Amino acid sequence: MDDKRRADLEARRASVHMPHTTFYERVVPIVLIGLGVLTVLLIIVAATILLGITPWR
Amino acid sequence: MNLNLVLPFFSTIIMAVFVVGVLHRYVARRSAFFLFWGIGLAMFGLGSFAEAYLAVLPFNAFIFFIWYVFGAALNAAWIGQGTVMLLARRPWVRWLTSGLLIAGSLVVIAVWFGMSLDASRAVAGQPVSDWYRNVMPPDAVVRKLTPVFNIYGLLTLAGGAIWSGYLFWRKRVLPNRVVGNVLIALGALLIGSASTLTRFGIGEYLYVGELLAAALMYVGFRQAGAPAPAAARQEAVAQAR
Repeated sequence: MDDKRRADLEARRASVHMPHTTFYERVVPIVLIGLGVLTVLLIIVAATILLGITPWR
Repeated sequence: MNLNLVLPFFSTIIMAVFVVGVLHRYVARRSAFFLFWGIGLAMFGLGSFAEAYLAVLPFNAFIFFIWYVFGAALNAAWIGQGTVMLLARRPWVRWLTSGLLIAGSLVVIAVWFGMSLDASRAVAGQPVSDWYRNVMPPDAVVRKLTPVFNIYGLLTLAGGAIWSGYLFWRKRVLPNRVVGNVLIALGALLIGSASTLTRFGIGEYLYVGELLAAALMYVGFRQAGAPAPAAARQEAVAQAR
């Protein structure tokens, strides 16, 4: 690895700013939305258990 | 050998390491959210230990109490309360929710000790999630209280992690915190899903769910807490708020 590339990597690692990659631009928002939907669904299921709508053992 | 008898041991080890790390940060920084996270994670670890104990050793009422009250009922809410202490800006929200959680936890413990158990229904050598409901009375009040704590825990822990991840993502700063919060939310959802399945009589995924949740949350907390240059970090956190 040459010095310029190493310096570039170190600068990126030290930066608090998000890199412009497909992962952060596309994947992360989809994952966050998916997790949010799952959370809401799970809370609805748990609430129906609590209210006695869904039978549980 | 039943894998479900072994998995809780690994969850206990991960949680022990995790609790020491979080409480060490509490001692260093005196931030209340580390204390709530530490107590909640210690409950999770104690629950895993009790699970491991009950799977291989004869029934013990106190260990069963630890497994249900700390492992099944309270831990998610206490971990989630740590997130509330971190994210809630108004002090009265932090005080009120903490007070309600502590009072509610004492109620659960009081209700537990007012309940009679049928130890003869415990099955040695079988995972506790298979037989715990037979040991408890059919209309046990404590089982009706448990979903309240778990809904609060899921909402605050998974919801709080998703919200934090979104805030940092929106400002395009601290990518490690985005990834860390995604992992924490994933861990919380995994254990929430496994616990919900147990409610439907499908208990075989509880232990693998616990182990994966413990590992994901541990990696997530480490990622989210990974140090960035101090001045830049303060600037980024201020921006995200």
